[in-house]
Amino acid sequence: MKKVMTKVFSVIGILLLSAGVTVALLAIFKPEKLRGLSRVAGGPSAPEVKADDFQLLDHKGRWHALHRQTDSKAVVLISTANGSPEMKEAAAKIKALRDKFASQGVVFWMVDSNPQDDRAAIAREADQLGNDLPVLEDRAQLVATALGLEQTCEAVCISTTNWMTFYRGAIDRDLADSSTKAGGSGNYLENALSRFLAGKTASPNRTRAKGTPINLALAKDPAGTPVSYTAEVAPILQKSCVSCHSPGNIGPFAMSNYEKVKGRADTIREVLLEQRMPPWHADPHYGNFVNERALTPEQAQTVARWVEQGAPRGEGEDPLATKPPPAAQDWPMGKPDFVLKFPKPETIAASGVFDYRYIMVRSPISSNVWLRAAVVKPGNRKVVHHILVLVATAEELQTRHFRQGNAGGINGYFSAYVPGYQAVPFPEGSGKFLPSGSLLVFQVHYTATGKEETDQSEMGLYLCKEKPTTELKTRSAFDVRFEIPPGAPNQETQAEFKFAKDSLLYDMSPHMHLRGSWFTYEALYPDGKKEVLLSVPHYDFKWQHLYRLAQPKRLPAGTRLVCRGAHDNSTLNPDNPDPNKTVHFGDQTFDEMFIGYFNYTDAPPPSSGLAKTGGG
Amino acid sequence: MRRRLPAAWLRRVAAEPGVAAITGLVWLAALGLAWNLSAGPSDLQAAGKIANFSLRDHEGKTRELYEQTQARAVVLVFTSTGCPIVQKSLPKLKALHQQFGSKGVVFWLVDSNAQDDLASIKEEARDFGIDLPILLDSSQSVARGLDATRTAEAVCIQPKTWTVFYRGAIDDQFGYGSEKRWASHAYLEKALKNFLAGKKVDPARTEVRGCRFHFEPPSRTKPE
Repeated sequence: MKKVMTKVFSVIGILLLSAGVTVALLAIFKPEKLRGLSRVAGGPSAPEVKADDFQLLDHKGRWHALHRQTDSKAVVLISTANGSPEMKEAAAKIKALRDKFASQGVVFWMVDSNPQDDRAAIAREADQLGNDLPVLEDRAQLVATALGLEQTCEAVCISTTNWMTFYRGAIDRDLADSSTKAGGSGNYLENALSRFLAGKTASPNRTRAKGTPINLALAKDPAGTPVSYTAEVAPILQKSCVSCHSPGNIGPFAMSNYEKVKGRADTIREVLLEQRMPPWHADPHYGNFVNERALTPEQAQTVARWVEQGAPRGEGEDPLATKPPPAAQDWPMGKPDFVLKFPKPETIAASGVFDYRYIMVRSPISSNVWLRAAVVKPGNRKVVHHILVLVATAEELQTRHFRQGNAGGINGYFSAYVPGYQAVPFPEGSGKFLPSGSLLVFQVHYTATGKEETDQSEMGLYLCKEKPTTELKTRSAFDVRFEIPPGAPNQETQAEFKFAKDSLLYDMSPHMHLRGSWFTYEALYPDGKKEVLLSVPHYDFKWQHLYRLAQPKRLPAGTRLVCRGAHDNSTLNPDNPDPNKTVHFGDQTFDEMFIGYFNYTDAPPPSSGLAKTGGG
Repeated sequence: MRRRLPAAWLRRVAAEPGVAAITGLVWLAALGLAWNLSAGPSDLQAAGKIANFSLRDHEGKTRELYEQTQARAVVLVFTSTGCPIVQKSLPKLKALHQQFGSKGVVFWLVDSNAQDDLASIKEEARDFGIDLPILLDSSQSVARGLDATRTAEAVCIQPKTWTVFYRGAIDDQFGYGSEKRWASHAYLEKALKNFLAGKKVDPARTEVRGCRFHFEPPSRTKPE
């Protein structure tokens, strides 16, 4: 009996043994199954989170976007702040790692979320530490909040295939908190990157870095006070959003009450992190503009914090509901002396991307006149993305280059409309000259909304009562001979305009097409000094901004206004119509342009005190 | 020595019932664990069976998923009012409905924005000439159940098994603030074509671009 039992157990044992081996072999040869499961299972060593997209400028004013890094394999973010002793220790190590891994497709960025660190101070410290990595300015601390960065010297490694983090913590054991007990060589970041590049899981994938706390004054409210919708959030939206996000305007939804905003609260936080809204593309480091639309870092953080708190309604009235924006007035500046209208309603199809339309309207004024204002009134604000009005005089109409080139707008536009634009008269004492018989050319960019629409826009002309003391002139620095090779990621172009007389500069408007990447205006004064007047680090064709200076800039005779910029003809540019094409100047959006428009007048003598002296 | 070890061990197993039993139990445990692991994916697949739901549409009609047994596929497209990506995709959706509606594919829009009221949904339907039912998921339970976080996501369900055969973007024409002249990948159309032809659907999952839903914390969605 005993022997029988023994044999039965033995057989069972051997059978189970072979079954076990089979299953083990199966498991070994189907490793992806187990890996997938271990992720599902999670656990304390699973630090993977998805890193949301963000956009930031670095300490040299260059634009960076996380989810654009698809030509790399991984992005390593390292939190930093000026004066952090750990960063002094880490700087050389970080640089060495960058040197080792850059060629293998790993991008290294520092992120400075310390509100005290301005650009000059960051640049000084970078120089002292010999750090040539971009230091991203996270002024609104939205990235710090999104990624949970609380101290300096912490590395966050992100895979560009799925934007999941795969390592987070110290650079190495010397820079780790004493509580970190992870074994191995202690070169945590290096090992994590090597293993990731080899297709393996980082181990350890989580350590604790030793660092200086980041001053998260904006992100963290020690008292945990709820952000007030009534007193804090709604006024920001009213000031910066509702001019477009109101009924009948181009914003796709109207911020007409709390509920409308709450339902989109997470989207609002996302567009702030990605700087998609409000649309404004000037680097805040240079110049002050009266029509600036970006939220301040404090405002952005207030709104984002409110979203994270669950977008609470709180007490008080709902300003969006009780104080809606005034209905768009027909003519905010009063009834014009003359009104021009598109000859017929334009039909805009439900879907598609449309070429510019050029609509010609003959001036109804039979004599030469001076205008104090020219205001474009879109007929259908949902579809009019921009209108530039160009003037072709009777003589210009005779030239064959009318469409391509000159009247394509190089010499300047006469008036313009972009969403959210507020009509203002030309500067005090100035006017624009409109010869009799001129043809006004409306360059119209329509966008599809998803249903068929029509538009019949108008322009109101306001005459000067007497001849103005000076002419408001629109000119440009431009280049029409550039060539952009296929795939070129940063093809630079430069153009300049020299001021013959003392001048007052009022506004600037860079113009490129879908491959436009960045654009700057720099004044080179006769005394040799230089001053950047406008920098657009991430040009977006869809937003034709007119950057209006808060104070007109006085440019002495001989000043050269130099426009620099670049086109991105690579596949990483999501707007690129065809990266395989060599691109030249042309008036359609699949061609390119390089024009730096500006409006100026001759300057009155300095004693008149109209404007401060600039630069020189 | 190494060669003789298994033989010696086997002899010991054969001789000692206790050792045999313990070995057996250990392997049983190992087998159980391995079985559990290898059964994981089919568990997930089982979990991938879409639970039934029943929602009212914007015209007051009740739409129940599990009643669609006659359909060859049910396509849910998540939406909210005022989402530019959905709005711009509507002509495409209407075309897909025309193309596949007669072939037994049911198209439902699912509005999971808890703050969208019936009036604004009706207004959007009128404005954009939407001839598809817009299901009111104001409790967000369908979005939560399907783990849908953004508008403009299409979820394709086969009624035979109530499992998903494609989910993701309608196509790749619209990005955030950017749009191409035309789509280079018509994901949804291709998925439906291949599915109806009995071919493999690849890709079966794509990244979605759309407006993020704001989810109410669970504590606040409890019935009062």
